Amino acid sequence: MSNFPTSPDGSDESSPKVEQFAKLLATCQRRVFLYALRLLHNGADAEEVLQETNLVLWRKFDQFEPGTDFVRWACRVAYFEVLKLREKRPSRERLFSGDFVEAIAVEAEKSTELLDDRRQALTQCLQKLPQADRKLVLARYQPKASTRAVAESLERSVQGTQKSLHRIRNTLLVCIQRTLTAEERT
Amino acid sequence: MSHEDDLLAEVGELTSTLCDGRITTDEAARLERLVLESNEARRYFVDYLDLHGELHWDGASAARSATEASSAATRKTSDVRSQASQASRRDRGPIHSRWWFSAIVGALLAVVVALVVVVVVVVVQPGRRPPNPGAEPWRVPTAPQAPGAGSGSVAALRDLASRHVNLIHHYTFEGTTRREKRQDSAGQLHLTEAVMNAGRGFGQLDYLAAGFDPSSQAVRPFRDLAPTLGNDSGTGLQTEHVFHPPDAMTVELLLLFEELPLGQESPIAAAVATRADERDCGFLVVTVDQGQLAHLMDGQADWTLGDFEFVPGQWYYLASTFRVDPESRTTTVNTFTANLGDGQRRLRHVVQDQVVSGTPAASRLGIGKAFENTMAHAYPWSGAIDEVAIYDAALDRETLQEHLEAVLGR
Repeated sequence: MSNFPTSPDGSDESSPKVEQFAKLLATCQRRVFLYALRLLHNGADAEEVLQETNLVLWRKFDQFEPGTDFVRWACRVAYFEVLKLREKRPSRERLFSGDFVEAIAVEAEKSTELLDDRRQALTQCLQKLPQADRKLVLARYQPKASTRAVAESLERSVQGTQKSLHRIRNTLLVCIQRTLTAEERT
Repeated sequence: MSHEDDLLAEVGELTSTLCDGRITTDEAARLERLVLESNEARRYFVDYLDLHGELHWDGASAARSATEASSAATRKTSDVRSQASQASRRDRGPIHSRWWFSAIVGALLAVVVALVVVVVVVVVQPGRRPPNPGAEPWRVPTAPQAPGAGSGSVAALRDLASRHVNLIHHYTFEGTTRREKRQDSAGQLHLTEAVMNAGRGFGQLDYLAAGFDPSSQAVRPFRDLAPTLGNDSGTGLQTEHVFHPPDAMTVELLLLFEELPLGQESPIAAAVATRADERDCGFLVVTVDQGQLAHLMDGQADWTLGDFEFVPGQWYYLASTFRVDPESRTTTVNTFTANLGDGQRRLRHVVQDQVVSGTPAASRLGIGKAFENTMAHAYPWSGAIDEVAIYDAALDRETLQEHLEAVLGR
């Protein structure tokens, strides 16, 4: 007997379909999250969009053509979830215009292919950071951490901590770019 | 700095503010305009957010895996509802009201999380992809190259400075012994240690501090970080004899500022300074508060503040020129900086023809320290100092730009 209740279409959810969906979903979580973050700039909002997107993907999984790009499809679904989230918010809370969001979505699609390479480069570049810088950036990106909280825990000024984080992020970006450029040459 | 450099620098700062959740409406409007108007700015913005996202994802994944590992032992396959609630712990969005749908999602999320953990912890070797021709990298100034043939280095600056006809004092902090490191390689005004806080300085000067690149060693004065101390507790350097500032002078050096802890009241950190008495002083390269550049030649005047604040932890090239007008007893100050850590290739003119009251005092020259109005040793530098060069001329911007390029390479 299955441990799962049946879906609306009556099929047994322990079927290969569930397994296939789970595998595909696992491959796209990070990418969809990053895509949503580019458009929303806020980690919590991006996570919310990710979860809504997962629900929609499951609901519409029958429409997915096997062999096509699941991640691309998932990001298209995420785009509309981003728009829905924006519509739910009062206009005064929207930092950027719809045109801006659309322009970023277009730009984001151009660099999606490089995400895995950039991630690998980031891993290497994090190791190259001075220990104090690495500690600071990892502290900042703990769940529910904020720059203010990190500054207070380190007994530093918020402004100084913000500047340090920006410097470290820029350092990482430059390192990532140089790593990718070096890999292109070899 | 080129216009593109300025644009990307501003986009970077605004995006950082956005990532930290502190951006104002006006700043967001400004950022939107800059990003929409420039392809390069748009690419940089997306890359910056990707980095922010990756770091956020990694931090969250680590927390998720710790949570899932602790609840795996108590999970029961028959209790689908408890699986859904555990797996949805990070769910902040709306939950679908039908319990069976939630159960499916909860079970799928549990599978997904487990698979994500596997993906995160296993070293992935993606196939190398050709670069996307539509995504050319943006041109943020890159970090300096390591020393080598054809590239810049601190040693190259040292060499260039040493051959300048107007060089009168040169403190490179190179050598084997501490004494060697305190030598003036251009004149005879060697340095000695100066301990503050009535001789009870609780730390030591570090003569083996890392320079900006492997071709150089720097010196790191000691500054006491206790809240009630700091300005008058530490160890710096000063000349063994009196330094007589010429009427036209350039002070050039590399320096790294480190943030001062909260609690130190009105912190002052001096890199190069003189003082003859309460009024007659020469605070040539000094910071006030949290790294704001300042100059002072008259102890009764206000600080002359540059339009510039050091970014903590970054190495800078800095050159200040001083032109004395003996008749009016004023000094015209110009200061140029470049953030070496960010690879800034063009000097920024951060103090422009500022006429200040007073003239640089003749006294022992403090390096990494200054003097209080009572002439006690005070204001130790926070960070590291290297390649201090004093010239008896106000070098022009082109010459200073050449010196900067010696460090970074052309």
